[in-house]
Amino acid sequence: MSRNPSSNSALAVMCLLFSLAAAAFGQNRVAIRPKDNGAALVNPSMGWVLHHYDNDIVRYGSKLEPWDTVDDFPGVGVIYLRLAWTYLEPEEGGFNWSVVDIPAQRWIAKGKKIAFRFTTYESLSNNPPNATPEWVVKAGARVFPVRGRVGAAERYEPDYDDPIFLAKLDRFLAAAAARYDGDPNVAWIDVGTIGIWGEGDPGPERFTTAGTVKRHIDLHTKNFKRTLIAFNDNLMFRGKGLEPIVYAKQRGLTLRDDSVLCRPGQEAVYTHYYAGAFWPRLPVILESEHYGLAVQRGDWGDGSDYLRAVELAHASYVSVHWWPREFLEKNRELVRRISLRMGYRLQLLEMSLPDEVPARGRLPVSYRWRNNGVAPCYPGGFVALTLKDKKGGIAGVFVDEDFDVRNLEVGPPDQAAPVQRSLQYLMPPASILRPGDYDVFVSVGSRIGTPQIALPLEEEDGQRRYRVAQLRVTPAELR
Amino acid sequence: MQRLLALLFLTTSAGILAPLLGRSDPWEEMFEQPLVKWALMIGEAKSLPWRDPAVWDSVDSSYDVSRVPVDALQWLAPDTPVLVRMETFRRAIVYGRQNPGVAYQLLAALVNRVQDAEASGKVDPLALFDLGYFFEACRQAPWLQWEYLGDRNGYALVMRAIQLRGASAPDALEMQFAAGLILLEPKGQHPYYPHFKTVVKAVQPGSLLEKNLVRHLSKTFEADTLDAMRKSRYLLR
Repeated sequence: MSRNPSSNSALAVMCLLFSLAAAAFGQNRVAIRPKDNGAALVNPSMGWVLHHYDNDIVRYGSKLEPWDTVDDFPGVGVIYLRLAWTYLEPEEGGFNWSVVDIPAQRWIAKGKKIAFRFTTYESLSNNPPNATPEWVVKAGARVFPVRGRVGAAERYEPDYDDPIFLAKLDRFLAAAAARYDGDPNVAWIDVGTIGIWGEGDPGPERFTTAGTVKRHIDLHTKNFKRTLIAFNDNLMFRGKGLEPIVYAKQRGLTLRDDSVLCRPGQEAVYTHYYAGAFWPRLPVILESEHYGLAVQRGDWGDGSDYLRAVELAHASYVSVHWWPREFLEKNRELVRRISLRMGYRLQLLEMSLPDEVPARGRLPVSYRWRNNGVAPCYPGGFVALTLKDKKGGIAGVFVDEDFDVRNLEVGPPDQAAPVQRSLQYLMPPASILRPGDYDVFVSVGSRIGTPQIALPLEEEDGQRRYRVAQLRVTPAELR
Repeated sequence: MQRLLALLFLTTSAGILAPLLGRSDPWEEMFEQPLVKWALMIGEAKSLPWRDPAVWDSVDSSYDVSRVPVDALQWLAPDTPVLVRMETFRRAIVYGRQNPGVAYQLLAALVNRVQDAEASGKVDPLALFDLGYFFEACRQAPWLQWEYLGDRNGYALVMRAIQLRGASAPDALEMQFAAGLILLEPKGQHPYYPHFKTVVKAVQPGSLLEKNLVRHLSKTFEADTLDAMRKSRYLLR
């Protein structure tokens, strides 16, 4: 997208006027061009996702000590808890939420978020034989025996349309929603109650319809009214057609793809055909094949298909589908490259301001911002300048409320169109902002100047404000 | 009779309303809609009237579209090859762009055929195939409304037909081809390996099935000939 040349000219004229005005008041302007520090950022609505429970409860977080939240993995934003219903409601109405609360609190304490998928049918692995609790079957829900597998005698798959099954599942989701819906620490919940691993595919001899998927979407939207809900693209497969994904979009769900690199070559990535309908509004979630399996099959290569998927799908959340430290160790460069692109990355390209300004005068500031990520900054935010005194006390706060960073465009690396802003803040009287020397910090956050978004800049104050300049406030000029 | 009239009213009024209820998202740009937009070569076989067999929407403007359900059913005799059935359905749906009601009526007739067979204690694999394939093709046509198509899994019906016919049936490969097409992901990028694997391995060179396979799936398999497809890395596992 090219910028309007007439607005460029207008900006140039504005800059010239500011310069003239500054010169007239005897101000020297300071221009800053900070470099992106290359850090992996932990920000709302984006980040690496560690699979603490991955269908069974022994992968991939079980080797971690309670104190170990893998802080050495840069950019981790979410801990994913994907597990069977039967773990959480072993008896009807008798819940065991500790199973998820224990790992959740470890990471929440570190400022991370959690995400869920509750499944009703699982592979044998280390799970209990059945993901749908036995008491549901005893209550009369129809199930199909699972044939031809080890341990199959005791195993069953639910009929996903059975009214008793649906009623019990509804009550379970209602109980879960009462605890987790709208909690700011919960990033999303998947619609994961159909098919093996909750990915939508029933057993090989059975088929579900678009109507089944829509009913399960309804169960989730009915109970989780505030938390983001994710629709897995596999929920369309095996003859369910496009209807479920259109419905998901209409109901405000986002999209996730569990199958990056599950196939070789050009088949490694194909979510982008669907993702275009979602990413402009909601964060898209990507998950790769279990890393070790993809390596074993020779499909992983240098992992660059994962980065390609992030680019094509404009992904905000990217899963580490393996033992996290092993993944990091063997994919450091890939992790670094994906971290620089996933989600949003707000870059302050340039800023200029005077080196001194009188109390009650005007502070002319201009800056240029770019989103160098693949996705919009969904939470939005406003640029603020904070003046701090030598002891770190907040002496001045100035917020640019007319510019929401949500509106920054995205594009290929380093090519998204930046936004230039030039404005003048009114300086408060000296009784509020005393004459003296101050450090100038830039931040992005709420309309009242609370920083919320990490920026790729140095000299952070520990609260997501970044020191970029100094400013002298002089006594008010005599009138 | 009353039920039939009610059905006719529903499908006809749906046909009038459908264009007004158009889908809000640019799905057409995202999806290839192979069951609707990939014209199949059927040689000299009879089907619904068509001007240019190579062009997906080359309808005959002199054709009375209201005849589609009756004429299409006429070409679905037990000895009609599967590829011809598929192309006939595709043409019926394209004609349905002018009057979606004809597609709904044809679908209703195919549903009745399956139900009648079941009511008489017989299972007709071709009837199952026709209903399954036509339903899935209808779902890919943006001018047809899902709420009027009903909720079924056409792929499952096709798979049941394949099972009932048996792998040695002369049209088994064509049915596998149909099943593979149903499962093609957007833009024809995601072949469902078991079906196309079977077809690529066993298809007779020079047959209509081979020609259709190469014509429509060369991009998917990154191969321009059957020989190249047989060596494709996508068929290695």
